[in-house]
Amino acid sequence: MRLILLCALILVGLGTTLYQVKTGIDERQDRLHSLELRIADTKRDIAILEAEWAYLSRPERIMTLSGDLLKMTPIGQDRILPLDAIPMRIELGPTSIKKIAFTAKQSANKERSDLNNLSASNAHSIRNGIAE
Amino acid sequence: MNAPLGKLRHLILPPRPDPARSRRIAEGRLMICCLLALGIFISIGVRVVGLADANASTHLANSGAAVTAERGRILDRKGRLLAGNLPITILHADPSEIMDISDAAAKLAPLLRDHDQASLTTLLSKKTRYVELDRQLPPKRHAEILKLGIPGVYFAKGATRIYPRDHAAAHILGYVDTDDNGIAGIEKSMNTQLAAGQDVTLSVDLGLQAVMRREIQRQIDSFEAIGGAGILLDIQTGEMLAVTSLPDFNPNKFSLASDDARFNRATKGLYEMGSTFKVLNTAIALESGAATTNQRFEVSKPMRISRFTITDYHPHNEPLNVPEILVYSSNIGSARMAEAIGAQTQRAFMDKLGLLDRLDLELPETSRPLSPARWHRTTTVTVSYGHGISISPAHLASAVAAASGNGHWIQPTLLKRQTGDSPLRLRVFSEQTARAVRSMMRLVVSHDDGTGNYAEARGYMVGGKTGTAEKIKIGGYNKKANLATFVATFPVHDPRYVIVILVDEPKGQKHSHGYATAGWVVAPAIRRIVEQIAPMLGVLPVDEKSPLIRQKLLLDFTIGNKEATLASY
Repeated sequence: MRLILLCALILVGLGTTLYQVKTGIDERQDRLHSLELRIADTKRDIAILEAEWAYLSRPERIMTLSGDLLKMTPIGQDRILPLDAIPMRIELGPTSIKKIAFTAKQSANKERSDLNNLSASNAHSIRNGIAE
Repeated sequence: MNAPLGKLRHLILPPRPDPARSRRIAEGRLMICCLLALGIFISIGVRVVGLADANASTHLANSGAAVTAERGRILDRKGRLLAGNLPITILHADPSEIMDISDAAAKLAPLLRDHDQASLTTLLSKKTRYVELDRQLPPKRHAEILKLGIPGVYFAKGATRIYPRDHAAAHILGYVDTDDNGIAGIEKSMNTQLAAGQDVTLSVDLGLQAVMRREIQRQIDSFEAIGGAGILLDIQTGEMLAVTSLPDFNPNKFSLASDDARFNRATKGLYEMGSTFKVLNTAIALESGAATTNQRFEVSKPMRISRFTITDYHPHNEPLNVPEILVYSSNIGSARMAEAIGAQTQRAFMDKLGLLDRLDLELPETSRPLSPARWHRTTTVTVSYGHGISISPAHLASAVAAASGNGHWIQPTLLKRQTGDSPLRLRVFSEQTARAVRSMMRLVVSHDDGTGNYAEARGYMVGGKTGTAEKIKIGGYNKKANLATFVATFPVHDPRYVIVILVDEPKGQKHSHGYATAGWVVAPAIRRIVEQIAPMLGVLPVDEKSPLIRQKLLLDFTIGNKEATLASY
């Protein structure tokens, strides 16, 4: 008797699960279907946008636009250099830096004195000009 | 109460059985009920699972069908879209469901592009169940027609083939019929793959293609020519980077294109290429040992062979050496070299260079060259300067790539090579021959007396050869109709690209002092094309006087009694 009761309970349980799985499947299938539709729609949109982009980025069109609006012309060969042709920064040791700093200071001093002389002579000539 | 009933009981019912036995019977009946219930549940369960499963499989079948419908795209070598599918709405009707035909026609006519009221009425009066009213209905019209609410009018989703770059590479792409079957170009030759939804990547580069097309068109316009063609070939891989044929057409409206516009001059057109063949003649002479670079040939008197008289455009009194024959483009000199080569050897080289057979390209539009069945002495002589054999520009490009590149003939292709591809390679010329040939080609452009001076793109080391041939007419040559050809190779010190450009029937202009020769018509286009495409291809300009460049060229030539040294370079 107990065995029968157990069997009946299991059967009821199985039935309920089966029902729920089935309704679950239906629900998921609906979702799957709507997702598929959305994917198809998005794919259509992508295809349209890709075609539009391809049409708008036609080299003929870009060439005309860049010529008319930006005044662009093909690059002359004298404006192209390989990377190795550009001189790189020179590596410096501490002594040479000191030396450079010293010469820079000297030349700065010289410049300043030149400037003073210049302004003095300028002032002189201006004064002369007024006097004349 | 019990006692009388108990007494009556034995009158109706049999005597009470043994309690143990009655229990067994009851249990037996209960078990039968249980099994029955179990059977019912199991059968319901099986049925439910079966139904759920059946639903799932039909869904899968539907989604699968939707995926396979799309035709593959065609892309350029950098993945840019050349041919794709555009979603469209198709408007169709079932005439048997339309109640008032004249009313429906009157309402629909203003909304449709291809129909007026009369044509709609006849279409809707047909005795079929399906008529197509519009293949490409814009969304706005879709909404307006929905609002009209005419019964029997339906909408369907579909896709149409589009070529968003308009004219670019039209001859290569080809086109499809209304059922999306390729009927020309790559669309036809790659139809199986495309129909299976696979994309096809071409070797063509859209940018290079556009530059090529614009520059050739410019020359056609300024010399009132009837057409032109151009090919840019990668010497190392055999990939065709640009293929142009003009006039061209818009593959979106291919039905409006004339037969002339649809004709692919670059791969299907056969032409007598004229003096550009002297490049091949020189290479064959050097390779076969029929001549050495400093050997001189007598050119002072016109040469007579059966009914032909061979003359030079600019006669020379003293014998010319091999580089001079190429630089001055001497017909007599080339003919003498060809005689030294011999008919059999010349024919064998032509065969190795693929000039006697249809080019094995991924296009249905190719032609078998026209060459004489019997290779006579006259043939040998005329072929040396490009007459008596008609080939396509694509043929010329691949042959010159072998002669001026590194001596290999490489199978040309229109599909992008994948890493690891090993194209068909045939050694036709030695490295040394190819180096001599391209050094001489450089002189044609750089030497003051060369015929291709206008092709000089400074720094890019262009070498080339001009060819101006009279076109064949019935029974001879047409003196007024020229074919101007230029074959260029660059950079000469490190050969990577070959360009062939052909302009069909240019007419002499004031700005060209009446000339319609290749040096005037095509050479300037070569210069402009090289100047524009070299930066795109990553070719850097070089100083050609630098020893590093000079040592890669052969320079021990004498041109016009002067060493072809710095002055001429």
